[in-house]
Amino acid sequence: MMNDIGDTDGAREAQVEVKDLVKHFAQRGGFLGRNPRVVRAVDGVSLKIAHKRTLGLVGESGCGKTTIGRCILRLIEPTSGEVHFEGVDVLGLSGRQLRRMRRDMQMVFQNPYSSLDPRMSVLSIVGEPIQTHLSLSHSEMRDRVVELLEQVGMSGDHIYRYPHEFSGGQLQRIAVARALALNPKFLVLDEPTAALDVSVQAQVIAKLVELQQDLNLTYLFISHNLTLVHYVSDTIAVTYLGRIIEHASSEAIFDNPIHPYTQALLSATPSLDRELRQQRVILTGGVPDPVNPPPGCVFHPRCSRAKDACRQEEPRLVNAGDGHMVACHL
Amino acid sequence: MNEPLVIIRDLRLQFRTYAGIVHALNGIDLEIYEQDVLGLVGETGCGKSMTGLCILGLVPRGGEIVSGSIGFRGEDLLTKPESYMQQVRGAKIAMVFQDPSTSLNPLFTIGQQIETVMKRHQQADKTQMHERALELLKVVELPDPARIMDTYPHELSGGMKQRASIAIALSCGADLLIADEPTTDLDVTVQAQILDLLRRLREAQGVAILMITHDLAVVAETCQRVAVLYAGQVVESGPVDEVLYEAKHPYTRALLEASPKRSSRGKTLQAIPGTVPSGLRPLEGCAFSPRCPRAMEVCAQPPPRVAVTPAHAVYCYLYADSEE
Amino acid sequence: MTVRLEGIPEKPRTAWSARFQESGLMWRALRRDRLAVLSLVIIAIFILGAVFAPWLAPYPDQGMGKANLKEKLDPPSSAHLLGTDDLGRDLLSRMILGSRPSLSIGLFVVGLAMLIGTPLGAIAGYFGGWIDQTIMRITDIFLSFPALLLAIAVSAALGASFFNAMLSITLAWWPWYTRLARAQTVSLKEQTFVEASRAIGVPGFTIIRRHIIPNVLTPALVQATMDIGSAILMGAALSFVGLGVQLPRPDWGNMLNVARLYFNDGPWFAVFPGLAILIVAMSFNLLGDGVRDVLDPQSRRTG
Repeated sequence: MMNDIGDTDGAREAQVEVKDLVKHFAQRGGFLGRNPRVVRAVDGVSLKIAHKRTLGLVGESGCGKTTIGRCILRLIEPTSGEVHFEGVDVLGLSGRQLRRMRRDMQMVFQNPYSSLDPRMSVLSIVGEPIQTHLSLSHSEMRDRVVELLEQVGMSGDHIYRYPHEFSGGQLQRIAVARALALNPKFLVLDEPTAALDVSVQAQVIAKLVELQQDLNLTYLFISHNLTLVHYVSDTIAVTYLGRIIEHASSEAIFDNPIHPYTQALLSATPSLDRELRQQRVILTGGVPDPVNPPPGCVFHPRCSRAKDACRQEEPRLVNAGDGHMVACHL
Repeated sequence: MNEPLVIIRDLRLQFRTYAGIVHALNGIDLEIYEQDVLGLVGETGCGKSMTGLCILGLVPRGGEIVSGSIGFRGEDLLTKPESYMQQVRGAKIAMVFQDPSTSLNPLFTIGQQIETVMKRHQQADKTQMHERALELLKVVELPDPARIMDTYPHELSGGMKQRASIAIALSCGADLLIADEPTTDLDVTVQAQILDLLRRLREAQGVAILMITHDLAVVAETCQRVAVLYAGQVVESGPVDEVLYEAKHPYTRALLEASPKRSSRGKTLQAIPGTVPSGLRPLEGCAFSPRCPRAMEVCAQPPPRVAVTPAHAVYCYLYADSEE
Repeated sequence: MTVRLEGIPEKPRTAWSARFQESGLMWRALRRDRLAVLSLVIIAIFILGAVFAPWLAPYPDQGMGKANLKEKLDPPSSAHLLGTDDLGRDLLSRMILGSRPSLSIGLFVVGLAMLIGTPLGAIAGYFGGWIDQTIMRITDIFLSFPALLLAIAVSAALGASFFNAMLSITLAWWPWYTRLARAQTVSLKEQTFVEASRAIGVPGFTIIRRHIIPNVLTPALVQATMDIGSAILMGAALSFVGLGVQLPRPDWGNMLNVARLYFNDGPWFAVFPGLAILIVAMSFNLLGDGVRDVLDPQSRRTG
């Protein structure tokens, strides 16, 4: 495989493969909804994740990163494109097949305060996937829930407590326990620490890394925080306005960012590193409205080095050497 | 260094709840100097936002300041009546909130909102106010200020809204700007713009800023001095370069170890074991000692203030000997 | 300011002690609302009175309708604490026995309306599309008639009886719960925990049963508590126009209807049933207010 996107060790077979994923949301607008607008949330995204690897998906709000994660799990139906999981065409599955498939692909959501039903005990929350897919007796299920809680570093004594009795970090670990209940192979982690304090974030990240080793998991780690993504990812894909604009190993993204947006993002991220504090590229403006993306390269209105070609032709994602993929005319 | 603008001493705040009395602030000591940016940093529930609200005299319902003083230009704000505080708020001390879309009134244009604040505190005629408002929008670097004057908040992006609310905060020439997580809801590239703006405003407008944030990296980028809060107490304070790069207190160190850094790539993030105390029991001794790897028996007593350098103070027994 | 209790070491809990502790906290919160507690006490007294009516009433046979023409419209006295009615029957006994249909109409109507309305609303809100359209247009048809008028019409068509009165009021009432449940469901559906269940592969109806209905039940229960008062009023209104409980059996509504003819000679005859309706309806309303504050697990621990 020569041109594999972001595939830095080419021998590995992709476990998750996304091709030309597109998701457009129709939005009513104008008087009595007469001018429907199309929000191009995801506009032709392709990526591959190898078994036991982590792909970090980074971008600002409105770049479609969360939509990509949800489309892969078919929590949202994509407008077009292909999603393959271990060779199975996920988008072609019937409702029943899809529900079986969910045993292998799970998700951890951003805000643990809202992703757990406040009226259910921890036993019912973590036990829900088991109850849905396996026929275990109540005591077997309870034993499994206790085992799962201990796996994420919590006491099994907590099974009869309710979500409001826990701190955010504990809740997120309960959410991870629920995602692990059916021994999945692939987890989509949607900003799993964005709602948490740094010290708690460190706990959750350490746990996720440890679980990946122990349970041979594949991760799609979605985050807006480039510095954080680096701690968990093997490869990083940078998204902008529904497109992937750079995709490479995380070392390459940090040491040799090619796309001007990636460079700006790296430089804009506040940093504790003293030596990085002085050099700064500050972009003007914000992310454009995904209803009317700019023509040509979607980043050109904010790019200081834009030339004529950037305003007319949309750059394709091409290999800049060593599987370092970038979509830029420069 | 010049005189402190604000001196907070032994500020204690409690809340009555069904569960009992919650000790939100347990003796905060702080100084904010003129034209200085002080970072107030800590995790959820450490009392950083409450400290900001106390300075403005806006303690939420159920809360009671049980002791302490907040000196502002030599006057103790805690002894002043509400009518006096209303004169202070906006005119001398202004606030910028985390979420600009809820702190701006959706029913009025940006220009109207700036002028409303000015009308409350200043004697000026309409054209003067209009000119001043235009000037402020220029100061916060909003493009096409004349047009922005007549737009409603929903027509602006998040970053522009935050610029507009900074303009409102600056409208009456406040000496102190309290910015409570001003960039937390913004995108990284927009956050960089706003932080950059605040940095330059301090120099151009001569305003002191109290930057309340959970993000040590934001402090590193914008502040001159920093106070680290834990469980309603200051554990370490001083110049940013000393506190963040020669941290003394075990909590500051642990927080730094837990924060993602580009230079420590490949290493793992160090989690802090245990959880923050609930605040339901009064603090005796060092609040961090139950989670501290270097806790000693003496830590059950209130920790001493140790001056590491004249400006850098740490509240910890580990350094108590070196002082004597 | 929200307070979390995680710092307090607690003993491991069992399923029962967890539920017990939850209800203990609710009770503690409700107790702070003096008006709600007072309403609860009043309601409890009325319910106990209704349950033990035949034993409590001083003249149970008069209460059930036996005339006592010697003492027509006597004012309150030691023999008849609240006086007597147009046929000389002890008013207190008739009030006590009359509380039975009044209270049961309130509980039955609201209970049945909730049982029918809530699941329908949850289904409409969760699935959306044509299912939503069909269910909601049906509720619109019911809601386009004034409730009392609809109840009177249906009750008159079915024939005047206590049971038909209950049915007809329920018919006018359930669409409100469908609307309430639908509105709640539409916002709940967007909550991440519902999406999380879908990500696990839980089928739609199970999600409705397990996640939607328990969460809709809180606002529905608050609404129900307040509605009991109004349902009692409507039951009384039906009896007042002669469509509910039939004389000589007592009901606060039909007592009022007769009493208005004798208002000049025996005002107590009208005042006491009216007062009873007022007190009960208001108590349920105030209790509903208190329950709303308590049932929200987030607000429970907030100062």
